[in-house]
Amino acid sequence: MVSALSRVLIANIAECGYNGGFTLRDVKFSVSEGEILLVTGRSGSGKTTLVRAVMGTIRVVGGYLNGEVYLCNQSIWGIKSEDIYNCVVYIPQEPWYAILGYTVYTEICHVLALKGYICSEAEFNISGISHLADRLTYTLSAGETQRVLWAEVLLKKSRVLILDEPLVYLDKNAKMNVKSIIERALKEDVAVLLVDHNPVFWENFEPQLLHLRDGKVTYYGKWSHSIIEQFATNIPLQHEIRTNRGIYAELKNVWFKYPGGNYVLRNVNMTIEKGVLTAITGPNGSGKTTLLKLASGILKPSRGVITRRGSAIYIPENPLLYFTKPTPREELLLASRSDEFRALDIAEYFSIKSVLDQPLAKLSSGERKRVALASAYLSGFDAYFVDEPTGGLDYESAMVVLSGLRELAERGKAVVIATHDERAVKSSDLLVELRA
Amino acid sequence: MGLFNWLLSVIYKSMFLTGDSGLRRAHVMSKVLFTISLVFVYTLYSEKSPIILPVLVVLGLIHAGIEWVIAILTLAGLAGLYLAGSAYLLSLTGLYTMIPLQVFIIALRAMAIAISIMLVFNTISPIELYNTLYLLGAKYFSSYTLLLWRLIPLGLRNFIDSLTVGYLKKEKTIKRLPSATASIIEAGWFIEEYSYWRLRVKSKTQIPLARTTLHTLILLISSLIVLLLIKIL
Repeated sequence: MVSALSRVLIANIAECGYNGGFTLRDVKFSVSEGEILLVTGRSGSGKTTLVRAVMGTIRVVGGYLNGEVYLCNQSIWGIKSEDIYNCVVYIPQEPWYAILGYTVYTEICHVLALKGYICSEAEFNISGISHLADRLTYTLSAGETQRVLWAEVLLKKSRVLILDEPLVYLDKNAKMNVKSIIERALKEDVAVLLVDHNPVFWENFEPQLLHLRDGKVTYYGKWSHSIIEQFATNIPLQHEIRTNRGIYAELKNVWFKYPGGNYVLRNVNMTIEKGVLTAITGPNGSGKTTLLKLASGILKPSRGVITRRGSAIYIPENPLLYFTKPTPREELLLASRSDEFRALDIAEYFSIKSVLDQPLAKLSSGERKRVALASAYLSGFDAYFVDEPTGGLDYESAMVVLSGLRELAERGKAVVIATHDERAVKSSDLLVELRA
Repeated sequence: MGLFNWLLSVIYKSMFLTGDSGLRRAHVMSKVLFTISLVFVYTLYSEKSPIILPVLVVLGLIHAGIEWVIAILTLAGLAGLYLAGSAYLLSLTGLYTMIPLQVFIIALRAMAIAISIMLVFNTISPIELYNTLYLLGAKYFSSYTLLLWRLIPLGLRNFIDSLTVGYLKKEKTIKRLPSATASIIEAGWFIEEYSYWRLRVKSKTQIPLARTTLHTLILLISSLIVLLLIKIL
């Protein structure tokens, strides 16, 4: 029996996880109305597994849960689908998979239709996405997708908000906007469960903290600076600015538009240098991913010329699209042309040795990113175009990825990343800023 | 980009280039009448069907512009080429005789049918399907129409992206196909997981669809022109 009705989210988990795989043990917490619980920990520590357990979807993905979870004062074992849907808004780490509508209009109107409201222009204006209403959802950038999901948070008015790495694809303005939405939600007595590798951003809210390591709780309690300092290192990378070792590619007067859309890039002129780590930044929807795709050869420009000198690879923000084989071991062996010694050496370097035989689809987002980069590293391309390489990664994992990218630049490769992450920007030698 | 990738991109453009715009905004009755007029042509006057090709092309331009028309003409051209080519090759075995004009007419008829199918498919509005299912009482199932229109293009795009990454990795398309297919399945899994509760909730209202009289009139007039052309010529 739940004693305190104001505690809208209560978890008493003895064990949860995936058969024969990762397990999370002895997790107990509660979140009251108007309160934030911040779940933090390294990549692969069990943050997303915990969210799945709380959301009652862990069984959907073939996992199990021993214990009890109460959402809006009802056990998830007995709660009706409609009650759980109305109780919670969930924004996952891969936001593009949380959209059901084929246009932004249908997405928003469907959310409202399930609540019994007929949508109108006003809802789009209130949530600040009226300019996106007619867009096809599969043409939205990751940042724009997150903005649509944030609009749903405003419109759905649920009592619990569960956010898994909510800032990864957002630009500075959108991040500040998220802060104000959370502020407003707390004032309206919404309970917030927040998963973020970087707790410092949420400092002003002084949330409750839950720190996970290897599937176990290492801290649960009040916000504390000393605890944050203990778990979250944020020392900027020290490095010398490299100078270029020749030109890899030149983009001259490049324009691009997607089928059925308007121009995303107009008259872009850019030189991509070898031996340099270039970071592309800019607001959501400014064309960062498109520019990477064009420069790597994934897309062809609508107008203009791109000349490349050598081979290139593009690693998408969803690394599952990169892989050829089902497990990291097979992927790395393929990339190293069956040189097992080299493959294991690189696996060690990218801290993925412990997951070598697990299916790629079951790995955490951070682990997948590291495997993709390790595979690309082994393949020995002349240029690397990596989309959000550190998105959603904890400090240690981000440093592994960034040092891998810097190592590639040291070896004279051209390395270009699209990022919103300050850590990645600080590690770069050259910054290219796109305007909206 | 390989031939397979190019073909997939053309299919993608032909089916999912636009949202709820153009002929999708016409009234449902005008869509039904237009479809009936096309079925009438192909069942009773199929030999005359190439006559309506210009009407279909103009409708395509009105619906989604030149980019879409080029995509459907390419796809229809490939269908026409395949059918006419195989008919001609079979004639070389001596089973029957064919003159070049007949081969050309087969190609045109195949093109007309392919463009008609694409046009009819593109007039279907998922919102209309959603609302129809809602009115018929299938209030859980209605959400799946939206899911279908979300999942197919997303999966197709993931598939194309995965194949293109494979091309950069210098992998043969045939070897890349399993992982590209897996990317579609994975997209389905993730959408199922993240929308698990949402897909189990009954719709409580319809989704409004902004109709345009202009597109309704265009479809009605086109149906009339199609029937007149077939009767007169």
